[in-house]
Amino acid sequence: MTNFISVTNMTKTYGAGENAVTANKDISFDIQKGELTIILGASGAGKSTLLNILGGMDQLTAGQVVVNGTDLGQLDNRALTTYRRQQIGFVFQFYNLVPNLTALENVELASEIVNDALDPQKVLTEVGLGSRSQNFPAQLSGGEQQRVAIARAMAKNPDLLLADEPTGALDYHTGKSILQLFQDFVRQSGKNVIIVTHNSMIRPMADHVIEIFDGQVKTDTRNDQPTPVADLEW
Amino acid sequence: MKTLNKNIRREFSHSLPRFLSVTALLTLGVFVLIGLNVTGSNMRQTAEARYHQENLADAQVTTPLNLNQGDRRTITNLKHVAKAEFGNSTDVLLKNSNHALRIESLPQTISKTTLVSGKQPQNAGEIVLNNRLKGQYQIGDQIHLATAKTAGTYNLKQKTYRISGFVKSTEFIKTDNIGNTSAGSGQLYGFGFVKAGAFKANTQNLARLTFNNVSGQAYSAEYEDQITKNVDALQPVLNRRNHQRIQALNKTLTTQITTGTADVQAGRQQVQTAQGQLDTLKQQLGSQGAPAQLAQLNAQQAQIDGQRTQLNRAQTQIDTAKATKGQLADVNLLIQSRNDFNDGYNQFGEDSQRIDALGKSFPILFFLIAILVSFTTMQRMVEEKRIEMGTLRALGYTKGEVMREVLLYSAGTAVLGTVFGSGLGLVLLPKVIFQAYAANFDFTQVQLAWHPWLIVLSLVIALASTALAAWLAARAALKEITAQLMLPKPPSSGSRIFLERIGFIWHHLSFSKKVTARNLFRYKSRMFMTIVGIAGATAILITGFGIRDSLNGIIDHQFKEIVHYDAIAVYNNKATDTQVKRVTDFITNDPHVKKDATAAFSQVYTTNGNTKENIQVLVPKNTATLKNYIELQDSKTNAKLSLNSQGAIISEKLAKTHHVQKGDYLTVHLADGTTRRVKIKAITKMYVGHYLYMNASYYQQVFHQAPSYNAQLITLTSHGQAQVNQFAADFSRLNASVQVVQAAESKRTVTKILSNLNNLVIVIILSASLLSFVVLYTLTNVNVSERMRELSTLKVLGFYPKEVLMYIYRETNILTGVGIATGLAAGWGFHAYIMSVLPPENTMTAPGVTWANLLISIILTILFSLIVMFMMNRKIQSVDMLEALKSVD
Ligand SMILES: Nc1ncnc2c1ncn2[C@@H]1O[C@H](COP(=O)(O)OP(=O)(O)O)[C@@H](O)[C@H]1O
Ligand SMILES: [Mg+2]
Repeated sequence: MTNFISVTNMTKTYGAGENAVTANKDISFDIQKGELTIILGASGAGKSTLLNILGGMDQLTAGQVVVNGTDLGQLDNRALTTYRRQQIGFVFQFYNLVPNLTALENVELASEIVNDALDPQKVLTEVGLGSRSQNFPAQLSGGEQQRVAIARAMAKNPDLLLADEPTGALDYHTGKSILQLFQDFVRQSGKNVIIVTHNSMIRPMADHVIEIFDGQVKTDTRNDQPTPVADLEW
Repeated sequence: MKTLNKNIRREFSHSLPRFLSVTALLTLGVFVLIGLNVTGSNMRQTAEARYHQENLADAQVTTPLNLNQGDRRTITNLKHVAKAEFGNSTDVLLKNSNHALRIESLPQTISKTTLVSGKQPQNAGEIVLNNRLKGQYQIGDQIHLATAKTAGTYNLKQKTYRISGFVKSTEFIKTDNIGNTSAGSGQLYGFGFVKAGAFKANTQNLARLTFNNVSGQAYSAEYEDQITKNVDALQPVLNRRNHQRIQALNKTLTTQITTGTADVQAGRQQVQTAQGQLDTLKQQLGSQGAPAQLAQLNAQQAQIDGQRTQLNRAQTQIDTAKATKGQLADVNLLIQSRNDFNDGYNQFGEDSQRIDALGKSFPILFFLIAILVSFTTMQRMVEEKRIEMGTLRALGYTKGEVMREVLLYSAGTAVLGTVFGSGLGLVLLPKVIFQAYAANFDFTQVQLAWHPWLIVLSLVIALASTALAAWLAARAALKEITAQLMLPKPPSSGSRIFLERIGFIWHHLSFSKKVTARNLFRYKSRMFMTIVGIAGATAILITGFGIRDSLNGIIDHQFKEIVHYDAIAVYNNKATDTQVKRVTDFITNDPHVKKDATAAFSQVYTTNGNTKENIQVLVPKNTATLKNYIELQDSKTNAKLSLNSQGAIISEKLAKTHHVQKGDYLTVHLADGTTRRVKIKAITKMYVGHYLYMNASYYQQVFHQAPSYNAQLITLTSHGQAQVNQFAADFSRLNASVQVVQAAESKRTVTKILSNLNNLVIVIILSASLLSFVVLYTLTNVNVSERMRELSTLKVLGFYPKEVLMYIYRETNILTGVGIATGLAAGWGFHAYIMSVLPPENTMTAPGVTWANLLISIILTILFSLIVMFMMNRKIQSVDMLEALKSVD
């Protein structure tokens, strides 16, 4: 099996001179096709930085990052946008829905711009919001809003789904059901999902756990028998 | 506290563009408000200073006959006259030219002149000329004068004067069109003053008066009302005196004529008898008479011939006396207020009031937009600051301390805006506007003044539209409990819009159109502001450009559609037969005259407040051919009109100002103030000037005398100014000529107004452009700032830069479009209003706005929105999407 993602000696430095902050130092790892990957680490460790680089939202400083055959270091801004557009779905801690659009329209916002988009209504039904598609974000709970955000990311039919602390603002049960969505997505579509979290209790659900400490990879472990989310406790 | 101040400082620099754009808006509003409202008043102040310094006469008494002792006594004793100074005035020609000069005796106390260079005349051989002639003459030069009429009377003692200096006078404040004259081309070329002794004895024909019961500045209602009252009260007194002196003159002339005629008749008899005797003698003597006898006979014959010549001369004198007697009815003794005897005074006042009129309308629109936009912007700012304010409250800061930031920020824009706006409005605008007037009036610089009340008013309005807005919003926010304040304001719940209920349309909209539609209605207040702002600015642009079009349009319409003559040549048809014949011969023989028609021409006036509106009365001898010179057509239906005995046809604006209609009566005044009622048979289209047209029989009914055919309507072979002037100059040399009324005169008046308003119009257009730009920038900036998060989300989703821009700009473009469309309608109305107050009292407003104007205004507005779009695009594209999405807010 070839590597879906391969990160080699990647370094990301913000700023220059005295104020320079190196958020990622010489990071290397591989991710295989169809994996549910968890990037774990304390606050400030450099997880978001790494995820943003994988998602084509930021330029790396040194090293090489290849995703699905695309060498991200070689892309200019426009090409990075195209990469995001065609291949990436992104979910944030804060849902970032457009308040003035209904749930369905928020999903359509994403599906509109790609060619092989999934049917927005169907995706909403898949995340369990089939009946709420005409509601505005303000009429939905936090968990429901996050579901819409996930539906929006999935509707683009991306090769890679990235989630940065997707349960950070949610309670235990709601968080769990959100994680369930990601696991189901990987199993059903055979696509890749990377979840960034500081909560080590959820690591059993992943196929692959990369632990980041102070901008560097601390451990890189694979898990042949991931636990179903329903069985997780924390 | 220190940290709080630091925070405030940071806020200022952080949102500098917003701070500056609101400041700019208020600056513009204050600038236009103050500038347009002080300039008129500054101009009047400037004029008043000169009037005061030169002690400009409150009124003048003039008469075509010289003033005798009795006249002078009557004038000096007129009620409320503080002082009367008598003087001479005569219009002459510069020798060998068509240039007319008005020469007056140098006034000593009233309407004094201001010496610009050289000296006042020191002896009867010296003259001072008006300053504008400095280029043509130098001090020490000789100036040669000639009578205006070929064989006219000459009131000065000498024909050559030495120039001793150059002066200015507030009786002649216009720099061209100094005044009308019956000499030369009809326009004064210049004026000069000589010592009273330079005039022949008993030629005083002018009295300058000051009153002891007037107060207030020139042009103030207080002053003008009192003057009008005085003049109205005194004219009848002068009429009585005039009647007396005419009767006396009439008596003298009658005696002269009777005795003269008798003498001449007796003389002729004697001469005839003598000639008969002489002839008999000659016959008796035959040809063989002694040489001595023959010589005696010849001497006798010569004596008889001499007597004949004398008799003929006496007869001419009798004829002249008869003519003079015939003209006595036209002699008057008129008192005129400044507005009437001093054309420049009147026009300067009207020009300044024209700016006042603009000052009452334009700033309202400017400020309204500035207020609306500042108000929303400030309220939005406070809403953005909810969390920060909540945090500060939670930390224990008082409400006042928490509010300080937004209050300082908003009051800062108000104070800065007022300071900049007042500075520009008090100094720059009056100077710029006045520059145009300085070219046409004899004032070099406008006097600036403080006008503190306007500054205070501006500050109050500015504070109300910023600090008050911020305070209201902050107070409302702080009323909520602190805990709530810390949470982001619940997302303004999206809502269904009306369009969605019309499923038929909604389902056919593309996704992006749906989003646009929803966003449009989500931000209703901003939608409203944008439309109002753009509409207002577009309307101002249209009006600004339209002023020029419309004033030019007036001239176009007048001369293309209505007036086809070049001049009305007025002459004295009661002069001696030979003189009258010379006039008619001249017109018949002048090769430049293409066609002419006889008419009776006179002037009456109506009153409109303190100003007299002159009306030209025209009675064509042949009513059928009138249409070749003036096309009379119904003002509403354009139907051709013809004259009959049922009433007069009056011009449109005259009917309008006096609110009279077909079938009504209009009251007019003769020069001596007596009134006549004229029945209106029809109202004719006319853009410039007040006119009364009637046929002979209706004239007879109104004026109780047959029309006196004293004028020829003249159409020349070519209509250029030079040719009309040449005709006027040639005609004016004739003894019986009175005046040449040039049709182009009205053209010049309107053109002058236009050129005087030029700078003002430019300022208005530039300000409107800036306004439109700042409004677009401010509102779009608020829009973009508020929706950064949304835009970042789009970027993360993979929207390309252009798609991100269009996501916002589809709305902005629609709003701009609607704003422009609304602005076209508003501009149409606003322009119509401005054009109803701007043209002179006797001028109609030419209808409509031109397509070119609309196009330019639209293109400019679109151009501004494009520039703003480029600026906003940079802002949108440079935003860090990750930064924006990180935080809660
Ligand atoms: N845009 C940036 N500019 C400067 N420093 C940054 C920027 N983004 C992140 N950092 C720094 O990089 C480090 C890693 O941040 P981040 O990747 O957000 O950590 P995590 O997501 O693991 O909490 C932190 O020290 C943070 O301060
Ligand atoms: Mg993070």
